[in-house]
Amino acid sequence: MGRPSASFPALKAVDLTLFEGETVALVGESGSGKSTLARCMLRLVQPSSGSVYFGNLDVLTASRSQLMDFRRHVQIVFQDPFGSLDPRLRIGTSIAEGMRHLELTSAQSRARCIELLELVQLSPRALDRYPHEFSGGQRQRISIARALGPSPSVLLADEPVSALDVSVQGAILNLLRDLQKKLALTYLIITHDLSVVRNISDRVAVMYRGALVETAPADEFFDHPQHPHSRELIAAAPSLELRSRLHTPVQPEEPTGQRDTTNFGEEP
Amino acid sequence: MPNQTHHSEQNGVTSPFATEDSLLEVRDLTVTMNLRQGIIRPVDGVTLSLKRGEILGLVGESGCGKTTVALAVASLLPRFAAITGGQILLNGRDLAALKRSDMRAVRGAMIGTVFQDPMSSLDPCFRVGDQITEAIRAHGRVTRADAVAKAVAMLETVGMPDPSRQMRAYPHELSGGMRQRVGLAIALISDPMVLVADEPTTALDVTLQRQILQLLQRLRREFGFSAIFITHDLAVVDEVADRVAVMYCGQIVETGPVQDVLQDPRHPYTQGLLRSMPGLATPGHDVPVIGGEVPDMLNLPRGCRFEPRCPNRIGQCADSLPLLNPSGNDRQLRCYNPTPLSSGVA
Repeated sequence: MGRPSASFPALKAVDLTLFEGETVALVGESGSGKSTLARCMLRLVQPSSGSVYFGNLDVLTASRSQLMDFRRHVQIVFQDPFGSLDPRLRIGTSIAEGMRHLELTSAQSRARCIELLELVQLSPRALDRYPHEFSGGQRQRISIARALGPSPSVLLADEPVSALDVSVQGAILNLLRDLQKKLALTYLIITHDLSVVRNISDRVAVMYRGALVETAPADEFFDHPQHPHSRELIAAAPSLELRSRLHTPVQPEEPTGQRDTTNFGEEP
Repeated sequence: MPNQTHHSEQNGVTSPFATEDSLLEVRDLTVTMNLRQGIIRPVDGVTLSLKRGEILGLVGESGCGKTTVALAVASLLPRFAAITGGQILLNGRDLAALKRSDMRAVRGAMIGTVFQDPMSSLDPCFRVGDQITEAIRAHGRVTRADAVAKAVAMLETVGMPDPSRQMRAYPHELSGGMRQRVGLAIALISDPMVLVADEPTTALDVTLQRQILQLLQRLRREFGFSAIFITHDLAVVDEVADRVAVMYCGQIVETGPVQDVLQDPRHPYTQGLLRSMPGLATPGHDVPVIGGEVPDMLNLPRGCRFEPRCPNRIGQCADSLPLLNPSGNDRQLRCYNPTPLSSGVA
């Protein structure tokens, strides 16, 4: 698809397929077009040409009801949890908002909200609290819980951990991995952070100035990046640089199976 | 609040590493804040030294007090906070003992600051060039023409493309990276001895971050300043700093040359921080996260502050706070029971 504007195209002939159950990382810096692509995929922006298919559904020409149905299946989580959670609303209200179309009774809605909070490892007490009472990592969990309300099959996550301290990022990535297995989700992770990509993606798609310049399975991408911009991004990632320099592995080679032990549930 | 000397058996370490090389010495610094919920000490007995010409990385998670250290050094503490203990010695002169009004003069001339959000030091209403020339003229009698020339030269030094034209730009017309370059220009205009940089690259794209870090190192070589570089990211510290100080709950828990500390971290918290980096974890596998939570500043443990979450804890850890002691090779450690990373500590 392409979307020419007066000065230059935001997207140029981008072809990307997301297969069921996989995690694709859409990588690029500001201005690369990755966010525009995500918005086109959700039909939040109408491209000038091209198409978006969700199964057999032609998203860009779908009827209103088909589109609403589509939007329940494909949800998005944003970077700045503070921006996307209304500070004046209690958490329970925010989460329930995404499920209005289900027309649940208030008891059913509350039960579902508690279930969603449990999925993201937060206590039911969070329901009656406000966003400012939570840490950045917890707010991100809440945003994820809200996105899962309509039981989507695809989750787009736009810079899901970039606003968090590095030490907390892992907990969210672990959660996303866990949810993917539990709920059979497909992910498109939009990010400029290659350490995140390294940890969580099956395939990598690199955007540069509106064009998709490389797609590859993750291991292949990191071992043999083809495009100069890919190499530039990998070279500029501080933790990957550190990884290659450390002589002792930071973790034992055999995964210990150590799960996320951060206890968010008790004291939000 | 008047500066009260605060001696504590538990916290005190008088800079065993103070040498003629030390430009800035923070000794047992304590900052107290009056908050609605109570009185806390976000900086609670911090001892650091910054050598001439070096970049010290101050690392810790959000809330550990690292920004408060920066604000104290730069004399930018908010009204509800004050230094209540310790000293900040710049070339032997105690900045903590100065009145706020005296500190203003010292700060500009001797300490420059750069923050994560460049807009915190840039006025959105004025053109960038005017802000730089104003800073220049605040530090000496310079004609307007000379100030402009110096400003353009400074913009060029910080890698600004087309500097003469950018003088006329407003901050909002510049990209994040360019704003950060302007921030650096303003900070360095008075040729300060110390640059305090608080998360200056955290909000930037990765290739831009690399450029700014390299710029910082080049400027350090050209201008000769020392810098305290504050971040939550150990990998960034690895790239830019010579030495590192790791901070937890208002205190320093480990220091040393960057490569040594990252290759052989001794404090369990440093080890945990390193292991929790997604980029260092096994691809496709869970990232080991430090279990538990940071203690409430209003309700700190009596002993070691990391003890509740520490895989190495032994009996005495909960009873008393370990001191920050020398641990060989220009390193310091605050721990009763360190074990090397490679011995497979969980």
